[in-house]
Amino acid sequence: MKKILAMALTVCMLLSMVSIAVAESTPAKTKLTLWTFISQHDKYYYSMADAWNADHPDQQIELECVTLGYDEMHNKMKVALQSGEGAPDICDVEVGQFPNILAYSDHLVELESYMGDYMSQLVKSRLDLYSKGGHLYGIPYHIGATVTFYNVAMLEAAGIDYKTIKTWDDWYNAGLKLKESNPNVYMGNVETSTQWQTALMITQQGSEFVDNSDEANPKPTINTPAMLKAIQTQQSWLKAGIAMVCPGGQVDTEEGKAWLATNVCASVTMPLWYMSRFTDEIGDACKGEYAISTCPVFEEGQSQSVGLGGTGTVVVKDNPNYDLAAQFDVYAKATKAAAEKIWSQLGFDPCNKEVWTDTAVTHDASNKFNQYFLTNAFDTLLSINEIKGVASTSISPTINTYLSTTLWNEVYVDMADPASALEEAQTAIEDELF
Amino acid sequence: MSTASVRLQNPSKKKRRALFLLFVGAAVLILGIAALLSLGGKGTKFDAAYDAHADTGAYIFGTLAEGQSYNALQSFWLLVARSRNVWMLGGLLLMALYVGLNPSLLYSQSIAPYVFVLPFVLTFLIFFLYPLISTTIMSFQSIKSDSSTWVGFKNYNDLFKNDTFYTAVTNSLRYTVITCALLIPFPLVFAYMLNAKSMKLSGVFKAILFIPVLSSVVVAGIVFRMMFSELDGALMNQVRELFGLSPIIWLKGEWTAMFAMVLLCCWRWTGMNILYYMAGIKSIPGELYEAADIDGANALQKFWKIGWPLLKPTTIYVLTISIYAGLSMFTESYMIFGNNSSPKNYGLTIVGYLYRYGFEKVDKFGFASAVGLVLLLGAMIINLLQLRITGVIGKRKGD
Repeated sequence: MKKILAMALTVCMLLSMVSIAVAESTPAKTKLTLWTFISQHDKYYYSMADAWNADHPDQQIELECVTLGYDEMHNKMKVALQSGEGAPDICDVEVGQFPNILAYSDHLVELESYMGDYMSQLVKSRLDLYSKGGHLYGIPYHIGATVTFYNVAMLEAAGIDYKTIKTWDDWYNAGLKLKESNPNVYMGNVETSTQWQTALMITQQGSEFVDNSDEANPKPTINTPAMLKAIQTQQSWLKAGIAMVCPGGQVDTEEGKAWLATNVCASVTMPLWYMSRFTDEIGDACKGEYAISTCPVFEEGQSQSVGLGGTGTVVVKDNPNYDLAAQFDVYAKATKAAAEKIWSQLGFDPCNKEVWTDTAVTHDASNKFNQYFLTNAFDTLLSINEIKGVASTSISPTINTYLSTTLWNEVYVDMADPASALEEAQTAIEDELF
Repeated sequence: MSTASVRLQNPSKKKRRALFLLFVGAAVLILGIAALLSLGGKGTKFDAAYDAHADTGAYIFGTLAEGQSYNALQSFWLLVARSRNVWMLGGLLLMALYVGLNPSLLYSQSIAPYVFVLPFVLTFLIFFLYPLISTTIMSFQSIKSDSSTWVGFKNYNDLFKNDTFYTAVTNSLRYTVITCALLIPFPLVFAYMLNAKSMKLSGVFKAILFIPVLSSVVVAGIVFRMMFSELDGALMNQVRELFGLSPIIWLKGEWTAMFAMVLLCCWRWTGMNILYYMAGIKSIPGELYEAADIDGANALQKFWKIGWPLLKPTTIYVLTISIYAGLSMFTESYMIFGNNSSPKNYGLTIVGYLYRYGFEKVDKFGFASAVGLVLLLGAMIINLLQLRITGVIGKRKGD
């Protein structure tokens, strides 16, 4: 009896295994998974997947987007690539984390063959950010050109015309004038958990955080005259009381956005993608208050903008459907249709510059970004003299971590002497790079 | 001994049949497991490469040179590795068949204890011993995505030279000392208060104090982050305002950041420790207090002469788990600061440091393994010292 029972159980088990194997028949649509760390991106990808399916009746895809937290997603992706298992087909990788992911470039699809003519149509400096050894591994959304958002009514109440602000000195003097007429508001903010403004200030002076002249062996360049000047400038704002250390460390945090929503800040210098934070998260509190303008410079002739932030979308080679995934990646990020949507839906300055001059798209009155701001983003973009790029190297994550956890807190919260803080930072970062 | 157990414990009369099935089964199972381990977690990719007739040796033996081919043994091993599931399942089935043929085994009293401890032994081997050994090996290697090279003591050298490591150690130790210093006396006092006959509504207070234990540290961490936010309207800044103090940036000060983490820990664990102490207090025989009353002892004397010594086992237990929890703290800091990097590393703990190198940086797995081992050794030394001082281990003779 027992033997019969045992045999019956064994047969049951085997049968169930067979049925599982049979159930895994191929679906009509190819399933692609995508990881991202920003919820707006996932809506964008779903809309692009619908467009792809309409255009490609015999290559239908079923896209599944998974939105994870910033650290969680990048760490999971690194572990997945390292172990060779569990990576999605497509993944959004933030530019600051890109060098970490590029360490596993063997597992990523080289996208240049899929890009075709788009290689020359997209802004080269942005493609370079996501390239290694002459191969492209990620497709960008945007340039991320820094601009300055001015609160026009607040400035006008103090008798300031934002259009006359050309240099950081003008900006400083405007701040003093503003403070005089209304001591409760600030001209701007100083960041302690990131370095958008500082990156702009040092690139304007022709410097960077990294000396990337020897690509195989990048070196940190923190203790530079350009950095010193950038820090001294921002310290002077704090001393004069025309700026405050941004709540949350920078304006792209919950606290930072809550602070902006109280309408006490006359200007914000951020990459253009910050528009979507205004419309989607800060909301009506600042609607119709801000105009978009070029950033101040130290001296006339310096570049008014630098491309900051960004996301490169990579395709994982280990997965069976990588060919289709790569085609979809190009379709969703590099085409003109994609560029139009990147602007109209996400409020980014697309890398495909064809769109920039297409006024039907850029000046569309029904566009929520055009309705929110007093000036048109593309008018400003086209008026910028030069948009510089910054290098992103294998040592950049280490540098960024040190700056955003330690250096800025020392010089802006503790108001330490910038020269000695910089010297200390340079040694500390060199020590970290073992 | 009852007659039933005599009957059951009498296998010698009945000869076991087909013993070879057990040995063959075990051998096949071990072969399958060895094949699985030799793949080092890259099973899916190996299978795909094997089925595609690609170079599969890279996963086990190293890549082939041009014109070279595998010897018979290597080819056999690759075959076993591909069909590892069949081997493991087959081994189990053969062993099950052996048991099926000798049903008396199911009632054997000499085998039963081993069957009962098997789950623990297996968990220990798979989830503790195996990781510990492979961590030790990895701590002497430099681990890249597709290769591992031996580097000797380089990881340890780098570790002891790194200033941030000492910051992490200081933070962890500081946190451990403070939480231990708070989480023993206060729960003890609360437990006495809740146990007192004159205490009204003690059930309600017990429930209120215990609820935080049930909350998720992630949720609690987010709530604490908002409480300690630097905005003027944040709860802790409002509290300061009540006392006429100006708002401060809590999470950017060395001690205020530590205060936030310690407060979260105390809020969550006070209730648990109260429970331990209440159980300890309940187990003290009432006669002792009665005798003390007759001798005219006052409340304080009763506590020092009866309560405190008899609660020593509870205190040692609470201290041991608090030391362990303090040294391994990570989630609290991660949630309060929103990520693993805090201003000037005020919130960086040893585990946070390990996480930074193991998962946030690239190709530093070997280094992170060294951090893990140093943490393990440190925690072990501190706890052994503590247990030795409190007399749990060693100096039995003097008792």
